[in-house]
Amino acid sequence: MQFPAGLFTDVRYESVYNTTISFENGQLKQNKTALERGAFIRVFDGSRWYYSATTDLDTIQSEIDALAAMAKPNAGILDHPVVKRLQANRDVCLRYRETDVSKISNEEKVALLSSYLPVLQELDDVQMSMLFYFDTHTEKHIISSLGADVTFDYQRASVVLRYAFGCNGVPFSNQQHAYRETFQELRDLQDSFREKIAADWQYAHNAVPVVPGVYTCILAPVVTGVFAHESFGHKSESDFMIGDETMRREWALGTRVGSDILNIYDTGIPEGSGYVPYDDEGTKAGKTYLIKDGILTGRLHSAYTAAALEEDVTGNARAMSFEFEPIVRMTSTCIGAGTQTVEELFAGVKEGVYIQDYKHGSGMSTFTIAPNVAYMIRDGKLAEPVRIAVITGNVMETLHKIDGLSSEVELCSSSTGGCGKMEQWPLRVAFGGPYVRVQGISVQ
Amino acid sequence: MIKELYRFETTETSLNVTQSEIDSVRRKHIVKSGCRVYEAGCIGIAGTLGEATEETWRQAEANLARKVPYPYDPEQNKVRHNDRSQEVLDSGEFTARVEQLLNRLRTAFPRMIFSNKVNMSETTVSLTNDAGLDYCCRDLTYAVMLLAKDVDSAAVFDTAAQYLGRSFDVDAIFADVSQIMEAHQTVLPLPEGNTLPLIVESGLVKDPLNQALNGQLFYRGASLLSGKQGQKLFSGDVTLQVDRTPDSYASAFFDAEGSILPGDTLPLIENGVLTRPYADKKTAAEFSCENTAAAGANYDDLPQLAAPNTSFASSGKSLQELLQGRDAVLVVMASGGDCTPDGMVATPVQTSYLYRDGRLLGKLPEFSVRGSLFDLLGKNYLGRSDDKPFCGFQWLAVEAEIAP
Repeated sequence: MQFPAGLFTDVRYESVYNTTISFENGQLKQNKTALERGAFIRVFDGSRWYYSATTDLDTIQSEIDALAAMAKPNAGILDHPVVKRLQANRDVCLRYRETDVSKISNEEKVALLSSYLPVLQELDDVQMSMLFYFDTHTEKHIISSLGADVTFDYQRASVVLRYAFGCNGVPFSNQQHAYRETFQELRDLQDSFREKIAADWQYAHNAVPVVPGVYTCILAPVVTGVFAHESFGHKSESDFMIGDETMRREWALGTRVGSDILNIYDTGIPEGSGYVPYDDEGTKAGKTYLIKDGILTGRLHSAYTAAALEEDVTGNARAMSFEFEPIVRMTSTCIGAGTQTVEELFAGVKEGVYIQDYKHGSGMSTFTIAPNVAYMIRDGKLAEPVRIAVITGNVMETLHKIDGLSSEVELCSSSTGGCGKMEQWPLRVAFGGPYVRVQGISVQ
Repeated sequence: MIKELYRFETTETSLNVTQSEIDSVRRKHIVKSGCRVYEAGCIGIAGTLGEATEETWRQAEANLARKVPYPYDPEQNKVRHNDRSQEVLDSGEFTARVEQLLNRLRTAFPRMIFSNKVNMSETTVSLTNDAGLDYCCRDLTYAVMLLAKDVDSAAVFDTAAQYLGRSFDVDAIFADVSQIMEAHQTVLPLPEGNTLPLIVESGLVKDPLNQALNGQLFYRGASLLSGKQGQKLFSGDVTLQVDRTPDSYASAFFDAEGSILPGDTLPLIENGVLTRPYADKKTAAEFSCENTAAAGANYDDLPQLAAPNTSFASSGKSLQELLQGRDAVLVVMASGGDCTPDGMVATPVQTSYLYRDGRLLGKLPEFSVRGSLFDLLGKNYLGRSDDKPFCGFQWLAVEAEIAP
């Protein structure tokens, strides 16, 4: 590979193996194995980036040359603050080579998925059901004109059960899933699924419309994670602050942004759907506290944004696939544990709402979460199930209204969907935290 | 055995805007090829990035052994090519025009900081087989997706301006963006009243309908609209149709199974009456209903039922005529809302402007809206505009309950 003089260049190769097997109402619907290879090339001349995405891996050099022809060579490129922050790591981190899902036969995968068919077939009032097996093994190789040469992989295998109950004209749909790093871990989960689906059946057949209003809400860990991701995670992605003096002033580190029991961090280190040992410009993963004891302590960076804000890289430059450039994204975003038991959190609520599961969330100045399963809380106890379209709150007000966190925490991975930011959706992320009690949430 | 190729080709120039300047240029040329073979009621599929090779076809044939049922006839002996492109620019000219647009925006609105993407995308999708099927649809679109914020604002962004079209007329796009940016300079209170006319993109009501009109859910009793076929559920002005016409930027004239519609359109709701849910070949065969060309698939997926692009029929009136002189709220951003299983729609409205007599007067505070889907498209439905007064869209006007 010939890197052009006076320019920074890097190439990210991606090889993605994946399997999708599905049954629809008990019938085999899809059985697909795919292997996709592509590359993303970046050239930087100190003032503008030039990118190319290609599936023709024999033309990488000519793509580099074509981008270089658009750029203006810069003799001082190595001293540019962005380039100074780009790491030249050399590492091979192939954690999933031994358990590579691409080495499991298709017959074994079909057999595993078929073992979950009875869970859906034995239910009453299931009008529609889908059963999925997904696996992905991704290997990335990043090289750069600075000498970076990093190879790493990540992997997941999932079973997803999706179902719709008729419920006398008020249909209810939901899904349960198991996300694991290896195929073998997906066995013998039938009873766990049965228990969750039975609870959903009870919810679906008994839920009533919520009375709209402002309530104290308790969020289950998976909802807490979405809340952290949507309410503050996106605000911590510092590409929104580039060159913006007002944002820099308002978001100065050290500013109080939440109640003093609140800690939020992002990390690519733990296994799960937010595992990112190196980001997509080759920066090693770390753990970044965004909020510590209610105080703004950090934010998420690529080399570009870190240079602009004169801060350090954090390993959060991520791309959805080889078709896109890395931008600042979250990995695993969590609220830190508190000290209370779950029972103590509930005991403090006279009338409120418990959000157990969600469909989607969004967040900027206002965060939203569309609950899929929710219950009223009355006198500190779970009460009737309720149907809710959306809960919302102003981010900067709501973070101050968190007044209880459980000591019990969970990190949750996603088998379907992911995070969306502008044109790049879905990106694999994880999130989690404790049970959270928060005052003054608008419930519609 | 019939062999069929489902092929996507995308060529794109994407310009990223930061601080009102282009800071990156992305070129993309991606080909995705899906090889399908049909034999004895089964389908074998294999895909590759790039052009299909002998190995891809061999793998597709080998995948017949997986016994994935597909007992429907592939389309045969049909030929149609459709080129929807209008103004063709090369990458350099496109970049120059975007720079021109940004220059004018910087000068006209020095207090606003613009960011995000402006894209030129050429897409060609084709479905061909050795039984005489030869469908190809090409499009070339220009998309402006600018976020904007005031220099003194601590928000990530305050407003957005978008444009989607097949030409890049700097004057016209500048004029369109300017309407919103000018209105943004004035802050107004939310008008009085428990309900207000809203001018919305159709997603607010189309998203729940996409779920409810799914033929599989519908005929299995798992849809909000199950059992209501033939009933008048909505206002007589409401006609919602599958839209595979050139008016649609989102879909080719054929679906992933090669199904097409007469005139490239078919109503699912006609004059307020639920006429049919959307269906693919499997759903049509299973429930003896009409195939509405609603099969979707990634290049290497089995075709399956997916919400097709739909549009509300025009009410034959301009936006001003629909509103009959009433003040209204133009909703630029309403994200994160949803619909309960019994049809109650609710969403926060993050960015909106007061509309009066064809003009945007000022920015309104955040608020929430709610309403039953049946009311929003029933007694509260005002219509879909015939004209495109903002952002190149025909807007929907509905009355909705306001929650400050």
